[in-house]
Amino acid sequence: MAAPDDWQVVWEDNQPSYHPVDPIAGVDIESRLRSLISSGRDTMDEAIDIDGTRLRIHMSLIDTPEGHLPVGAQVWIGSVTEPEPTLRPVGGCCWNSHEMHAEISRTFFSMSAIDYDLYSDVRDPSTLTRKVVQADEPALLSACYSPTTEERLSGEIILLHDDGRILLWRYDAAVLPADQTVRGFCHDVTDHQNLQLGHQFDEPSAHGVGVLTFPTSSADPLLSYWHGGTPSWMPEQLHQGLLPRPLRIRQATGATLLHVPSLPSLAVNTSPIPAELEVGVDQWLPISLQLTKYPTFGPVGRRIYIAQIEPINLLEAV
Amino acid sequence: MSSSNWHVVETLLPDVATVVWSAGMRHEWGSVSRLGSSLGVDLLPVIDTVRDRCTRLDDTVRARRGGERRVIAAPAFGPDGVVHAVSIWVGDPSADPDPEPILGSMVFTPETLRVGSTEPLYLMSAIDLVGYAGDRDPSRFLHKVFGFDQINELVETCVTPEVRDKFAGTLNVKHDDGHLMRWQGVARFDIGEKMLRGFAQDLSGFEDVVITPGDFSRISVGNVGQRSGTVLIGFPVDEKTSPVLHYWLTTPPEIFQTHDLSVRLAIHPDDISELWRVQRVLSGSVTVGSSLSTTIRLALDDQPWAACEVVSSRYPGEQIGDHLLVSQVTVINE
Repeated sequence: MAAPDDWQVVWEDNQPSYHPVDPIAGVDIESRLRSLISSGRDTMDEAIDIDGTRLRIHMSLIDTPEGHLPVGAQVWIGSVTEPEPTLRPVGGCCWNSHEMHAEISRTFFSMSAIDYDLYSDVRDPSTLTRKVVQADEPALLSACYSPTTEERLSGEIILLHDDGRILLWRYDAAVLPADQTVRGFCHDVTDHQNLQLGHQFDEPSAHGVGVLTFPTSSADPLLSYWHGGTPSWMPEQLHQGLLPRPLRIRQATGATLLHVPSLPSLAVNTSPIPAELEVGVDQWLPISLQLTKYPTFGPVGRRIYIAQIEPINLLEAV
Repeated sequence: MSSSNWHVVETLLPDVATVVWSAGMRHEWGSVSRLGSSLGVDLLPVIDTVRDRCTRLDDTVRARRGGERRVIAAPAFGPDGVVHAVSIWVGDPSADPDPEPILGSMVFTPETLRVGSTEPLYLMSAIDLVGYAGDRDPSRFLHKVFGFDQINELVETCVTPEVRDKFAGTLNVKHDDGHLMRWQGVARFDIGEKMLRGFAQDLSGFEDVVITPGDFSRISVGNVGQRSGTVLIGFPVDEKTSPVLHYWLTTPPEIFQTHDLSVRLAIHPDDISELWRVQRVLSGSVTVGSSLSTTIRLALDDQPWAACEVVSSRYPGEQIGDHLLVSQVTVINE
């Protein structure tokens, strides 16, 4: 956001929304943004709506990598009687085409990390995308390779959090040929947008076809996604796609489930592995798991698998 | 392709010895005594001596049909201290032996899922020993491999040795200097010791890289014509020296066709960094088929430079695609 003319709203009322920065409920947003940028500090003030309601306006700059100009801000406007808002998870990222590396902010890092101490600002491309499963990338790639046209880019990224959850991020970026950069931010919208894995799964069978993910720690892997809906043997409501709460899977005694991430990716197509699926508090369902590699590049491929799941003993499951 | 007077004998299990490579060709579990009789020298005692004494042997012996033969027997040691293979040369004492086969040994322990490898094995695909580790997980161990159709047979040998107790197959490997190699891998499972013993042999010079139909189907080769062709470009790990245009997946553009396969296309020195920029951005790509286009100058030997449009994408595969690109080359200006 170089000058107010370039400013744009990109997300509003929990969904993507692209339009100029106009006054909202009579409140002048633009001048407030100006003072937010010049002070660099969050602002909180009040205004009176046309109908006399007292409004609270909270503004916060999106966190950028050290030494970088602002890339955006979060704005909250509500009645003073409403509870204090919590900030959305949004973190800044700047690609430098001279250096061929990106710099990321602390928030950007923490949005997918368990251990915040591992933060470092400079990332080469393969490190930057090492958790990414799929992304709207062709325009972004060519802009990063050669930022010759001033333009705005936006799209979605699906990635794996270090804790094993599958996340959906939206990115908004500006290509700035003058200083050979692509600057912008990512916003975790998993809670508001529908996440759809692009992989062409085989037709769902009675087994249940899902996606199994491994945390970076030695914690249990998670069943995070049902393709074609929850199988009928599951004691829960039918659910398709990303599970609101991923289910833990623990390996049966002596089984080799936790070894799967260290197998060569060329080979992953396991024979059935006995395991247990957490279907409720302290309720574990014995299952058999067959894993194949999820087709993706980079080290994330070690942590995400397509899983064919069937209960081992239906009688026990009921 | 060349021939050689060397022979490679696997000695992966006690009291077992079979021929796996002879005169420039792969063999599966061939008879050592048959090879010995064709060479006129009894090889079994030679192999036993090398195994027992764990040393190289270079002797002149009396041949069965008279006359003298020089016998060289070179052991390849595994990380377990056992001789995994013996390379054998038999010839006239006055003749110069051909270059020795390049071998490196490994062991795999299913209980720990760790791979133990030797320095010679590491050096088969590396410039020096920087980064060498004798103990790795299987994924790291195979991270330079692209194209290994029989990997599931190898895994089966590791996991269910009672069903399949030995493995022999071929694979493609990218060297750290960017060039592409063809290897053979040979392994046997030792049920008593609960470990897999194996070794790899670099077949470069004898066999070329093979892209199997399965791998080929995942690669987009684009248009082929007089002016266009698709090539594999291997990038060195030093991240600066010239990438290697090694293997044409299609017929090369007409002006780059040559009968001498040892001649490689050169990249104009001023354009090398541009190709590195492409590699660097694509190393962050996660989508199959995402590509970047650039213009670079290429030439065969001492011929003039030709400007080419090069559209590159990652070689499909998890880690290898960082350093191996599929590039469609179109000559735009001769």
